[in-house]
Order: sequence, then structure tokens, then C-alpha cells
Amino acid sequence: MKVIETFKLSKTFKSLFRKRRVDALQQVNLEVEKGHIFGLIGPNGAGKTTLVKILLGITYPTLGSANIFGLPISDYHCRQRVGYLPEDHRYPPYLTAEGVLHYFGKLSEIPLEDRRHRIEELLPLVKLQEWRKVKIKKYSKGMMQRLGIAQALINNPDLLILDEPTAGVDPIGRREVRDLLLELRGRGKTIFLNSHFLSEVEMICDHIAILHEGRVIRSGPLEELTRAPHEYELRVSHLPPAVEEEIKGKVVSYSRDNEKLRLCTESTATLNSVIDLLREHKVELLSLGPKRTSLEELFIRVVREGEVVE
Amino acid sequence: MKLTAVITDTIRESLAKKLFLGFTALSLLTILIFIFALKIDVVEGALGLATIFGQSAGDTPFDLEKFIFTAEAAIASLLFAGGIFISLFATASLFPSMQEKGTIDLLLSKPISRTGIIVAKFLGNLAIVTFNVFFLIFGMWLVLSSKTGIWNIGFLVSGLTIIVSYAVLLTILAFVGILAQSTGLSIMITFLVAYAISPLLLLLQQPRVLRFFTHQSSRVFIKVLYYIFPKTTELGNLTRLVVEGKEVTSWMPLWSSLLFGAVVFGATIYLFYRKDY
Repeated sequence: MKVIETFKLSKTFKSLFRKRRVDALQQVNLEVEKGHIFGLIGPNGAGKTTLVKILLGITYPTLGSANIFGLPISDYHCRQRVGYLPEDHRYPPYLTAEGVLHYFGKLSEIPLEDRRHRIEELLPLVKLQEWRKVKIKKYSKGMMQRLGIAQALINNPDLLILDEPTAGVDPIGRREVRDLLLELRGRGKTIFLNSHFLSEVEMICDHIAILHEGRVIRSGPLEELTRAPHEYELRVSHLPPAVEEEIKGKVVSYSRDNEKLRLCTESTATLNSVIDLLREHKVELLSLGPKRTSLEELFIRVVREGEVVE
Repeated sequence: MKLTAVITDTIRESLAKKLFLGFTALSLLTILIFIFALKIDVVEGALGLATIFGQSAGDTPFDLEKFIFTAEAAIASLLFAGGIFISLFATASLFPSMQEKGTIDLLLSKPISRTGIIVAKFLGNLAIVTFNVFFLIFGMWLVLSSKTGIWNIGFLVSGLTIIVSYAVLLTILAFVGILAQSTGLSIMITFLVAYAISPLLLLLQQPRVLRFFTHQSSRVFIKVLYYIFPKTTELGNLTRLVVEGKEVTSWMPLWSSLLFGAVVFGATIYLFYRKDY
């Protein structure tokens, strides 16, 4: 089931008096499946926040359309099952944590009794139980961020859209947020994460999209995208020098770190011929797998290339 | 429930600014002064002796009803001029602050229509001013009426004309607030309309002034502007007439101002509905 779908979503910002126009989004097609943690990454000004704002009806698209839970984003009812944490969130400073959660719970039409139960669950979860009666103008940035997460979860949403959820949170808090997101995925929730922390995205997201200059230049399962094509890692026991030389002649690039070999081949057939060679010389193959690039490597490479790969 | 949440939050936001609490406290003080310090002796339907803080209002008995109506008209006029001024000043930031980054994003991400948000914000705003105005008017009405036995319903009705006048000016505040997201500009434009354009148009449209405009088109233009803009000066006079129980010859200032308010509020809803954040 598709939780989010966008169809050629485009957004152009035009200033009123200047002729300058900015194409913040250009024909963005995305699909987010139920139960996934989807990471949206991209350099500053790539259009990530614009995309999130369009999905939530905060900004209107210039062209194209999008659905949430099958409903068009123009229908505000589609946001009934959505929780959102914006990057710079502001809450009424005259309210307490409890007051904030009641207010946003009411906006999501949660009955009083359910709201009370939900608040009892959420405040310990974000470690604000002891601060529940304190006005939030006294809160630190980290506390505000944790309150923001509780606010996003108040309506027990099936889709959680988080814009930099760990900004301003200490390392322990970041770990807790990550664990919470993984737990929520375990409960079948869908999470749409917009983050600058690539290591964080790599740790928890199963699908990603890289946005650059308003275009999706890569999207798909993280595992597939970080797999280097025709690059493999092999672990072997005792490699005779003659065999090693023969392998070097077959592959595009070769490196060795004790028993670990890294090969780049032109095709899978070459890899098979290397395996045949090892077998022929009775070299024991301990493990074999595709070489993975880190998300950071992938990100830097594709943003530099900048070309769209469908 | 969603609209109630926005209305309640608007009231809380207004109360947090303390200005309305100060207004209520001032109203309460005024009522208490009249309860404890005003002593009225009624002799055969006429004012025998009126004292405030022990000082006599005069030795000559005069028409009690006239005295009460005049006192109530003075309170209503003061409330019309000062109350509306303070209320506009106190609520001017509500619409711009609602649109601040981080606040508006959260509000719009909830399952609530943009029309609902703006209507609820408006009603919340109106509710707190209505409470303040009626707190003073009803309190004073109760004190003066119970002390004199003259129950002037017109004084209570004047509360409505004050609220309607405030509501009309609030639509300008909302429109500029949504358009420019600036508290300062909202106050400036609203005060300009209420305290400069409206009295000026009232003056210009009078036949003895209008004849100085040689071109017919200029005269028509002034007349059209006069009918379009809210008529704060005349609404103030109308409020006084209602309290004094005098005949109101024309309700045009009221309905034409209401029409202006309705159009401006419609434009505000449309503007908010179309706006990107």
C-alpha cells in the first residue's frame, strides 16, 4: 500500500517585483510504501522542505499532484493520520507540555479521554514527565525537540513526517530517537524522514531519495543504491602469488588487505571466472559479497554528477 | 472540537499578553467605585442628592433619568473610543504571530481547513473583546440601574454596536495581518481607516464641503468612498443615541460598515486560503 505518492510535483517560486524565479521542485515522482522508513536527503536548498510542505498543504504545488493515504493533498482530511515535526517548531510559550499536547490533540480531533491516555504514554517516552506542568518557555532546545516528537505522535499517526528530528538533541537523545523510530516502524508506522545526518539516515532508513536542485536524482531501497556495481569483496585463505597475478589480469581494479580482496570487474562473468580460478587452485573462498559504498560516498558522488537515474 | 481549540488558544494568547487582564481589572475597579463611592438619593423620581467619594454632585434636584442616560452614554462613548483603540492594539499581533515559521507549519499540518483556522482566530479574538466590553457595560448597568431603578436597555444594546464596530475594524487588522504579516502595519492601516479616513470622508461628503469639488466625478468618487469605508464616527454617535434612548434616523452607517467588514473578511479568507508558507 502506498502511503505517499507524488506525480510530477513541481514548485516554482516567483518574486512579486523581481523577474527571478526559482524552480524549487521539478517533476518529482515519489512513492513511499507502508511500514517503511523513507529518508529524503539532499544538499541545502535542494527542495526537501518545500516537498514536505507541499505534502502537508502548507505550500501549494505549481504543477503536479500528490496523495497521502490515497487522498489528494488538497483534502485536509488526508492529514488526520499524519504526525509532523517541522524543523523550526514553535509552540505557544504560555502553555505547559501537557497544554501543548492537549491543544494539538484537539486539533486532530482526539477525544479528551484518549488524549489524556496518550499524554500519559508520551510524556514518559520523551522524558518530560517531570516537566509536564512547567511552561515551555523555560524549556531547553533539546526538551523542545522532545516535546515536538511527542506532539507529532499525539494522534497516534500512521504516517510520521519528521524534518530534522534530532537537530539540537545530544548523542544519547539521538540514539533514543532512532530507537523510537525503529520501534514505530515495527508497529507498522510509515516514517518520512528529512535529515542532514547521513549516518543517521543510513542507520534507520530502508528507502531513500536524493533530491538535488529540485529533482530526484536517485531513489530506491538503500541497500540497492549503496551497492557498488561490479565491485566485490572476497575473503580467501592462502592465495598463491601466481593466482593473484592471474586475477589481476582479469579484473579492472584489484586491492588486497590480508585475506580480503576487493575486485572491480567488467561483468558478472568475470567474477565467475575469478571464482573458477580460485577453485581450480584449491583456494578456499571464505566469503563473497558485493562491495557497499557508504551513503555519504553515494551522496557526494551523485550530487556531483547531478544526473537523474530512473 | 478543532475550531474550539483555535478559539480557546486565541483567548489564551490574548490573556497571556496581560493587556486584556489589565482592561478587565480596570473595568472591575470602575464598577467597584460606582458600587461603593456613588450614593444616590431619589426623591419622587428625581435626583435628590448624588455624591461620589462624599462630594455632592450639586444642590439643585434635576431629572434622574437624564442623569443616568448621560452617565451611561459617557461610559459607552468612552468604551467606544478607548475600548476599541486598546482592543485593536492588544490583538494586532494575533494574525501575524499565527503565521510565524514553525507556528503556521504546525497549524496547517493538522486536519483543519484554512477557512476554519481564520474564522476561529477571528471569533476567539472577538470573544475576548466581547467579554471585556460586556463585563464593564453589564456591571455598570447593573450598578446604576439597581441604585436608581432606571433600567436602560439601550445601554446594554450599545455593547452590541461597540462589538460590531470593533469586529468591522478587526477585519482590516486580519486582512493586513495576513497580507503583510506585520503587526505594525496592521495597526497603522486600521487606525488610519478608523481615525483618519472615516472622519475625513464623513466631513468631505457633507453638501457644504462637497460643493467645493468642481468636478462631478470627484463628488461621486468621494460619495462612493464614503459609502464603502466603515463609518466609525457615525457608529460612535449611533452608540450614544442608542444609550440616550433617542431616535436613530439612519442605520446606514451600521449596515454599510458591516457590509465592508463582510467583504474584507471574505478577502482575508481567500488570501489566507491561497497563501504559500
